[in-house]
Amino acid sequence: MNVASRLLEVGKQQKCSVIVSDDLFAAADPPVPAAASLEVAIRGRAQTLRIRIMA
Amino acid sequence: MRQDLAIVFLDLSGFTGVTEALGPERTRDMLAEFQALVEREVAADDGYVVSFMGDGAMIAFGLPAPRPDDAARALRAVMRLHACLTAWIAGLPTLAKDRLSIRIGGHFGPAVASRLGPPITSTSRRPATP
Repeated sequence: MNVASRLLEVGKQQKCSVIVSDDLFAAADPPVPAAASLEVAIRGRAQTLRIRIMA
Repeated sequence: MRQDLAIVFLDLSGFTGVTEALGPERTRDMLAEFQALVEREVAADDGYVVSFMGDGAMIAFGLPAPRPDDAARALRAVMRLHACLTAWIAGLPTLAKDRLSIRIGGHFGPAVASRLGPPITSTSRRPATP
């Protein structure tokens, strides 16, 4: 839950509206072209997280 | 109980400034519209609004029991919420629509689900009508 809420902060930094983790994107196996992907630091988390910018 | 869950957070950015401009009654009405829209769109994909936090919401897919398509439903709901809320903001009075925007974040992974309130069932999501 922390990760999802932290992604709102990442969205603000990246100036975008919708960010999901690559874990969600991959598990959803969406029938849409892969969205832009990048690795970001998440506050309170030792490892970086791969995210997808959806909008 | 440890299980995989899809969790979505959403937030109306710029809300504080709008509340000051709108005043309490119009802010209340706007929040009621926002929450009804979120409830409707989340329910369409069998998600569960865990809580509203003023201008934000926490949403879960995978409660009360996990399903194989939790992540897919969550991602679908995220994209639809973004479209619906963007359209809703565009229809608000100028002093609100020029300041508000929507932010959504979603993640899928292990979580510990524990019951801290009433049971989560379809009938417990809304108050009973008299």
